[in-house]
Amino acid sequence: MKKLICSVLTLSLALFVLTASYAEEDTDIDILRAADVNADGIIDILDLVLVAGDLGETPIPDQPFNSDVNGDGNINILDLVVVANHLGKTVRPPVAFVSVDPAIDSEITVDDSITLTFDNPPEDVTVSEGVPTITDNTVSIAGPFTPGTLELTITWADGSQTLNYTVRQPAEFMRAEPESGAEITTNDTITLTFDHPPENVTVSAGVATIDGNTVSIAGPFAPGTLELTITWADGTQTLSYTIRPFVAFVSVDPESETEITTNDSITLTFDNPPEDVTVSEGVPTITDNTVTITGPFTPGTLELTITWADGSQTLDYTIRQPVAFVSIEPTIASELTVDSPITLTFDNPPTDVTVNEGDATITDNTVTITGPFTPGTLELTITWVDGSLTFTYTVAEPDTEAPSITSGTVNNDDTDVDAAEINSSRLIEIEFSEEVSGTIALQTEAGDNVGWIGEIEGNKATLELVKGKELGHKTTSVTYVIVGKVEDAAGNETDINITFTTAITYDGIPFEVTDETFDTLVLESKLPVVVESYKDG
Amino acid sequence: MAPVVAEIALEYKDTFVVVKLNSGSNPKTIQKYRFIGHPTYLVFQDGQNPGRFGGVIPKAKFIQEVFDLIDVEEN
Repeated sequence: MKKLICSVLTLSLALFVLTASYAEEDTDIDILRAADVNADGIIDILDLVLVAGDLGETPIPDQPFNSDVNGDGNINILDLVVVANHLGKTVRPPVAFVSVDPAIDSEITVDDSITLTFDNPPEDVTVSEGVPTITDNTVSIAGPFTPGTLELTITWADGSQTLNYTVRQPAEFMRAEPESGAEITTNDTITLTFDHPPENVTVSAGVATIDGNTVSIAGPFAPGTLELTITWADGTQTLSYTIRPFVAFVSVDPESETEITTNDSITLTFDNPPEDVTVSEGVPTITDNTVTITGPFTPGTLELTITWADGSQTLDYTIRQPVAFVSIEPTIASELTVDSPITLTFDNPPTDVTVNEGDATITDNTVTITGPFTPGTLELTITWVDGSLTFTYTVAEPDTEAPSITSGTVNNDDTDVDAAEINSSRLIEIEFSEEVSGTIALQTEAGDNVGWIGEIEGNKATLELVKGKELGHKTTSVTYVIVGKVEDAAGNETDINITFTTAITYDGIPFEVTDETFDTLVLESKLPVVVESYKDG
Repeated sequence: MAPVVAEIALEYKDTFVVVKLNSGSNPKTIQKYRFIGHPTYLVFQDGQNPGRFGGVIPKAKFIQEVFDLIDVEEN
């Protein structure tokens, strides 16, 4: 071995001398790399030793060290000469592509840059599109690129690489609706508009929905101050809002589709105090979470629309005139019987009538309340659709006592009644203990009607004399009977049966008898009668 | 005569009654009891006609005629 090394060194020296004349020439990089048999970057004696060791051998493909430096298929002195010619030279290693950012087949914008990294600084770099900038081991290729499919080929001294991308326009934020700084509700939606469809959108609050060039960000947002940051593939934007609670309609009293009067109020309740309230009819008053709308409303059909900052609500009502109390009979505070009806009059037919005592019957504009009522003080409350009133009465104990005769021109079983006086007054009166109604008549003892006119009014009955029907008394006493029947307001009845007998009140002066009165006055007289005939003229 | 009869009637009103009958307007009674001439006095007691008298006579005679025809025990 020692002998071999010495021979190589001797030979190398000889070759070096022989070839010294062209050692400084520019040499193809491929030749230099072939001469650097051990690929350590320097062509030196070690490379010569490797070739010398293989002299006479046939090159074997895929060997770590290739001693066939000139590539002619033989390892011989010519290979030694090539190595010897470049002894002392350094050889630059080949530059290989390592990676690229963004990754191949990804999407980039027209203004993006593509950065390639090599294992060594590349040389003689050219690109099919864009402008390359080489910095150490990297090549940055700047656009603008043409939107669409990009097949980018990078060529450098030791190779080339083709990269495929999809190039798109970058999305730029244009505006937001509502504008930043505005007051919105928890349930509002914020819409951002871009000049191109944004990608990879994320938001710091709410839920983003992309539709073309717009991004809608829906709540609910937390009440208070909202710093909303929207980030998309090409940028980021921060918007500020003041979030107030969303005001939603909750209920209304009276309910929609009901009947109300012209003067009624309609109260709407919201879950939060509403703002910017307007109504299609009436006057709204806002108190905390409620809006009270007062009329007067126009009779007929009312389609009432309430609009507030966060919405609107339409309510339908039927408007009618209110029913007002007009009068009551009997008079308030008067005394009633348990069965006395009470009648109230209204200006319009009342509905939904209820009473706290008795039964109510509605007929047109009147309400009749019938008992029986409880004796004592009656606090009668009547309630109808538009109001309520209370009336006080005194209810008397039930009247079970029949009316009685308290006095009269004649009394039962009277005798010696002064018929002349009665005939003169032309009246027989009978008074009762209370107001009564009924009939009364004057009869003979035999039951024949004498013909007096009987009337009953108030607590008095009267029998009025009809001319020619005078009570008999001049020649004999006559018995009469006052008959009849009366009843009080409670229906208690009393039979009238008053028998009286007239006194003979002959005054001594002859009086006339006729064919009609002869039997009664003459034949039935209790005293003897002297009849004097005379003739007129 | 009328004042005398009236005087008698007043004087004896508790004993008997004196009445007048217009013969011109009460034919039924005139005919039934046969009042003839004027003045004619028919006396009745208890529905009976015990008798009559007539003519213009003095008061005492008139009273006597009446008492002759009636039963005065009842009075």
